[in-house]
Amino acid sequence: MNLNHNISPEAFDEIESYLSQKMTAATQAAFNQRLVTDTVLHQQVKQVQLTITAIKEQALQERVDSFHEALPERAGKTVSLTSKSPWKTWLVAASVLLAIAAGGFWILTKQSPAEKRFSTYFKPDPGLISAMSTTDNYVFDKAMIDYKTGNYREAITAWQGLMKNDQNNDTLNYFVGVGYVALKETKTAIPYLEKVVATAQSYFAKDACWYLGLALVKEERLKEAIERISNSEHPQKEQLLQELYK
Amino acid sequence: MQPDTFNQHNASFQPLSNLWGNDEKALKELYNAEFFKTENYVLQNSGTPEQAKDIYQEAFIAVWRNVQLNRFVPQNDNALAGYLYQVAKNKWIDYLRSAYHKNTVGTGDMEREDEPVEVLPGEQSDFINQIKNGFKQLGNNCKEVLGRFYYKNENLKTIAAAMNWTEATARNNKYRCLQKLREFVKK
Repeated sequence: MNLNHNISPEAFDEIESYLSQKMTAATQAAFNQRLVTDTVLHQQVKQVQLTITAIKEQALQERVDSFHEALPERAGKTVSLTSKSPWKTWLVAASVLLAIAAGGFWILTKQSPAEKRFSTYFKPDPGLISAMSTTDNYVFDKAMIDYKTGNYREAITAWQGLMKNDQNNDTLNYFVGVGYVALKETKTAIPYLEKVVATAQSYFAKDACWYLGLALVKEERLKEAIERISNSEHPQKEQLLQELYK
Repeated sequence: MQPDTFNQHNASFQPLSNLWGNDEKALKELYNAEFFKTENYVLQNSGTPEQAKDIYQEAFIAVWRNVQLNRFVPQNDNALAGYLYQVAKNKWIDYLRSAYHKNTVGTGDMEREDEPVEVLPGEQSDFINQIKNGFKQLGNNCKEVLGRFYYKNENLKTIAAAMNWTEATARNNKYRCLQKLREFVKK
């Protein structure tokens, strides 16, 4: 396709007004007719369209960093205490390994098939990065640090305190829900996660589908579990669904 | 030929019109819509926050371009945001599977999802890149005129007033700047 036509100012203006839908309906219909038979005009329209797109795209590209800087605080995530404290991560990992070494065999032999499946697929949500910089979010962020260091009960208590004034907050419902899932108190987790899933616009809706599905797996409510997991976007969703369909 | 593909906006979908018209509020809302979800995905799959930002911005521009070129015509906000997340995820999977990483990072069960839009033909993609590079090399006046007209959607009268020109001069200068851009396209 030739994209290097020398287009006159008048032709350029005409194509521009066609592309931006500023023509009258009749003129546009006539222009469309010309496009069907006139290959050169078709190429010129493509050339103008790509030129305008490139100009706008370059201008947008120069602004996109400012969009990033203006991201909302909720997940604003500037400083992660846990991610900047590798020893904490190491301690958590070490304690998990110790727990597995001490009681892993017992757990594996005593778990029901549903619990085993749950344990195979469950990994805690990594949580949000905690800024710890603003008073407004202090309680939330402190609880997030508890959550990320495995102190799920403390985190849940703090978030439930915040929920007294904001029962439908999807972020709070989600983290209370996944906190209970992490504690394997899946029956308690389900209503919190259902609330998030019901909020289709929620940023957490798809992730909530996954954890809700896992909670339902553990509760042996397989039909509902399949429905929820199908609506998630988790990388392991197909694998788990295949197991559940067996 | 399919002439109607040049202007296939969904008139009933206001956010898309805003996006098409480069409304900054709509652009920021779209940017905010899927960033943290993408960041979680990248962090959970061997990435860093900086990589999450880069991959997301690349996906954001790619989606914006497909909307501009009517290659992707979403029916609602969710479809647009979902598409953005899908593109970002696929870009991250592609990155992990790239030659540089394939020996060090396993992608295991990370499945690349089919995107509803095919890759832009190479010659058209090259053309856009050449114009973008050309735009960066233009003088300040040309950048100002073209940026105001195409990105900010200002009309020639407004631009003329801002630049202390007549409207006719603004029209001529805009055209001359477009001609300069054309010189950057390889023949």
